[in-house]
Amino acid sequence: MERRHALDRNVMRFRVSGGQKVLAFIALLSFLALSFSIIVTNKSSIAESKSLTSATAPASSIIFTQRETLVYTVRLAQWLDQQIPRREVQIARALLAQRLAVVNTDGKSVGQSAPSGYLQSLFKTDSIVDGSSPGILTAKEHAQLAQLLNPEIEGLISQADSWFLNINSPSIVS
Amino acid sequence: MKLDTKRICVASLATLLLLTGINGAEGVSPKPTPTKNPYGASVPIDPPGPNDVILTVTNHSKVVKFSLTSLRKLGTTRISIFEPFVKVRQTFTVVSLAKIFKSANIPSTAKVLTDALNDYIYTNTAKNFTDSQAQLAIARFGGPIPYDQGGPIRIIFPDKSTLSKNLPSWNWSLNVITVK
Repeated sequence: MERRHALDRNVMRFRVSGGQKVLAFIALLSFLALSFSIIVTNKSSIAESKSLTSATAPASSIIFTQRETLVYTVRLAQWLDQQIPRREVQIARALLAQRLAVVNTDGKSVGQSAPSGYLQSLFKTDSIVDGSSPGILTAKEHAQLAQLLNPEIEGLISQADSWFLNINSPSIVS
Repeated sequence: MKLDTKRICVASLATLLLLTGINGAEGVSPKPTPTKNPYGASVPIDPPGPNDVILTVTNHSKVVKFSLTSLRKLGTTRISIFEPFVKVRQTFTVVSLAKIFKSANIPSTAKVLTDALNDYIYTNTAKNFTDSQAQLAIARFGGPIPYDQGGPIRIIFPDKSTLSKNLPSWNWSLNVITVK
């Protein structure tokens, strides 16, 4: 009997007191606040990564533009080497123009953020290509255009590189 | 209470003018956006001829080649969409990708690879394209789509469709569709 009473007293001791209830409530609130904070942080991280990788995010646009620039310069070199007709160069140039005309999430077109040297080199190659005859270059034209075009191809590639570096690490290339 | 007929007339006239203005604004069809690309070359590229092959669809051994004429024969419609790259509303003449898939017996479960003239590749299932009502645009504002504006043919999506928000799926200057 005595033992049973002792057991009951022990059970009584495990009753939740008012202070414990308050603590439990605070713990629950903290847990909910932490969960909410994790969800919000995750959502904003996802939104941020989406905006950074979006096709019209400024950084992504520069990468795409650099790719199109390289394709265009390869086509120019192939045309100069009498491997492909002028039309293929013009198509590569048109696809680069399409990329430059993309309006980014900041409201500016890609071309608006291009260094002036890049656009100058681009338009110089245009004048050379536009002034040539359609189809495959002749040996004579090849000799004439090589001197004009090679420096412009190199200039365009180096301008695209510096544009890309400026976007990604403005403190390094200033 | 005495009615001020002059005031009533003026108020009625003002309301009428306002309503006419609103109706007029809604009735005006959107003006075509200037199509010249400021970064394009000065010499434009000739658009493909009506019978030139502009799209090759390959479903393993089945190969279907399309010209503008044969694409038009599949049946065209016109849709107005918000073009997400230049961020303006444009009207396109389109052929649904569902019709193109059907012509090459491409099943909905097939993984479809879309390849552009610049070798840009986007892959998704045929079902995801058709669920988003993907369209192949073959003309814009009734004329050829210039190469420097995503032409001559390009994939577009109606506003609010699932893939319309996924810009990589808007493949420009489409050249080839292949089943993986």
